[in-house]
Amino acid sequence: MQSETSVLTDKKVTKRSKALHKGWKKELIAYAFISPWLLGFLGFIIGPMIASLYLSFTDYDMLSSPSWVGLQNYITMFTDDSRFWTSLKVTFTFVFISVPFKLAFALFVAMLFVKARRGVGLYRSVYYIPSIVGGSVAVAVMWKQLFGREGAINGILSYFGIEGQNWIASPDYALSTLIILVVWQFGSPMLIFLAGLKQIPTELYEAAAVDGASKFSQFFKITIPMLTPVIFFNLVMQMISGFMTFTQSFLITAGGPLDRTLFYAVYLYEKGFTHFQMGYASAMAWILLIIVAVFTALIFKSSSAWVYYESEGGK
Amino acid sequence: MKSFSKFISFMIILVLLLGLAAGCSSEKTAEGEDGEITLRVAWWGSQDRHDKTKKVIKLFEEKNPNIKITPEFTGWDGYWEKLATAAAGKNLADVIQMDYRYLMEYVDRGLIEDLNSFVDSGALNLDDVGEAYIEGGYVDDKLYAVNLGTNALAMAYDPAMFKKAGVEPFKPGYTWEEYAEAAKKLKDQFGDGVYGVEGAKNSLGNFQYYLRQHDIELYNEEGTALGYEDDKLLVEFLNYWDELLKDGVAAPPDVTAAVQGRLEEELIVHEKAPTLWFNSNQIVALQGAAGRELKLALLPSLPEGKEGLYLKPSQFFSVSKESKHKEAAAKFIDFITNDLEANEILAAERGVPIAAKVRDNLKPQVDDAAREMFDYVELAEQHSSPIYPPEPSGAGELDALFTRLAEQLNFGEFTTEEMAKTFRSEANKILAKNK
Repeated sequence: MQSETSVLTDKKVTKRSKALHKGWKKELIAYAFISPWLLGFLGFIIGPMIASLYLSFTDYDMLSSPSWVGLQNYITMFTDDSRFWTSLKVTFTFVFISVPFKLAFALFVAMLFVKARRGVGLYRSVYYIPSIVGGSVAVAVMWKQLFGREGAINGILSYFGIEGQNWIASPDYALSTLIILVVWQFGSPMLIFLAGLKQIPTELYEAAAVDGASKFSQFFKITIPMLTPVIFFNLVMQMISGFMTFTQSFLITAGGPLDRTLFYAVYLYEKGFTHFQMGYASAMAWILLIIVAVFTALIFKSSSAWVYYESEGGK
Repeated sequence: MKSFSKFISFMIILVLLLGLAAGCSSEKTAEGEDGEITLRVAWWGSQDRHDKTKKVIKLFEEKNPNIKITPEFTGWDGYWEKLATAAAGKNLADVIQMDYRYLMEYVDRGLIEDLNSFVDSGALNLDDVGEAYIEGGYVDDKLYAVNLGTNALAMAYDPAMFKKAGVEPFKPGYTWEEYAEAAKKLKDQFGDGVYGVEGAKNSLGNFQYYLRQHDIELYNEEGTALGYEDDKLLVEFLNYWDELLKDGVAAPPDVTAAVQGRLEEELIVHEKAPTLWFNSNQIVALQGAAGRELKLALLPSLPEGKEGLYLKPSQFFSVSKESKHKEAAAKFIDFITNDLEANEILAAERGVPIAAKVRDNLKPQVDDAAREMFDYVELAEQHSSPIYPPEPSGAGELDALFTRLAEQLNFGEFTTEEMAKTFRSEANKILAKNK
């Protein structure tokens, strides 16, 4: 419709502006094509973000209208809320342990699957499944069963004469069981590693083998350096999702026992939806955004020191 | 690389298809043709309650062909989150199941309707309902909530285990000391893996009961601070349970933590504890889960003390202020309250029905567990004092705070004095917001 009317008016304008107009039209068409995404982005991401920024400066219980309190939420958070610090500690511990383990494990499995063997396609799919079902309630229930007092893990342990305990209800082990769960969901970094491994030219390995390099030094001198862009990508993605972890703790341990699995996102949810302190929860969300932004920036800054791009001549 | 990109495109198609399917399945909630009304009814509960309530809804629809009901039900976990979100989005269901603890939050914010005009018009008939059964739903003489069943704090016990250990069932008037002695005896009888008490029952509701025995309420009258001045009572109460825990009579926290509030997982169900402190209406579901006879007893009493028990509306139905069909909503509540057939289906699962005719009709035909509950509520009525006023805003948070601190105490991270002090300062911080 719009293009028809603009074609009619086009006839009267000068050549120069016609060219401009055409460029503009081209852009408009491009925007029209991405409009479904654009609408979603504005409506479901930018809009709520602005709303939450405003709410973070208010006292808002969802049932009555928000009232402005300035920086009060942020001040309370940093000076008068010990559970805020607990949740930060838990989340950092979780991210710093689970992300390296998960990446190492994903790389290990990807190395196993990189060679074309019989049935390797099937194995790849099977090992990807945990990542698809990862956040689901069914897995949470299964994890409870596995690590419960009468669960399968204790069954296996008792076979070796070790008396187990209720791992999920234990303050010392609850976080570890969640870390194991997340590491087990290594599918998506594995796939990306797999793609990265296949990009490494086989000549490099052949040349190294001729020179008598061991598998071990091949791995550290060829595979790892060539893979650094992929490692970099995986590290950023996994770190961000690590900071936002919610489902596993919410479903399996509900933040307990003794707040040992009180992830930041779980505490945020509790404040907002259980105790109706949406203003405070919004403020927490913005602090999390800043934390994630800072860590992402740090990784990006450090990347020039350790990420190798072949296309930039090794720079 | 090729298989990788194939995989990605497959995933994208899958996601898009799923999105499409979700988009199509949204239900129609608007008003239908020929004046048909659609009413949304929300409640929390167990599977048993969902099944029974849905059956009653069907019966109601048969008798009122112009009203259609859309049920919205979940467990207790998540119900209030869902309700608050709906309230914020001006999308509350027409009829909502309400709890005594949350009543003031919804009244204060003008989210629920005063039903007095429907009582006057006769749409909601309360002629058959005694004062004690309905009073909990009034705030300033306005009827904001209609009680669906009455219950009281109670202790379930396993008569077979008591008999085996040679312990007499508790008679009204037994003391806290006698309870502890019996628990020790039971523990000695059954040994490892079985406990005399299902856990250190230091929850806020039980402490409130203990306070009431000392003639003190948990909150001050304005709801802006705790109602007691001296931490001595809380320390005493906590010491009582702490001793049982340290003597190995009460189940340790890592055992109780695994229960996570699910009735089917309670120790008494699995014969690992002889008693359970809870609400009397839950006996129906508990007996169903255990599959054997369980009975109800009063909680321990305090010599020279006051009666701490109270009859409590187990839950209410309220009508939301923005509902477009308040008359129909009132009619539905009337149906649940007075219809004999409906209550035969519901079988007092929400507590003892409030209408006298319904009670008389139901009592001879209910099963053993429900009869036990009927008898218990009658017994509790004789040992009760009037219920405390509806709890102030923040009561839910206070409850969560107490549970969290008690957990730390049970895991040995706190002394009882420290816990009492921390609870006071944190609780008053929460309640101060009501000033």
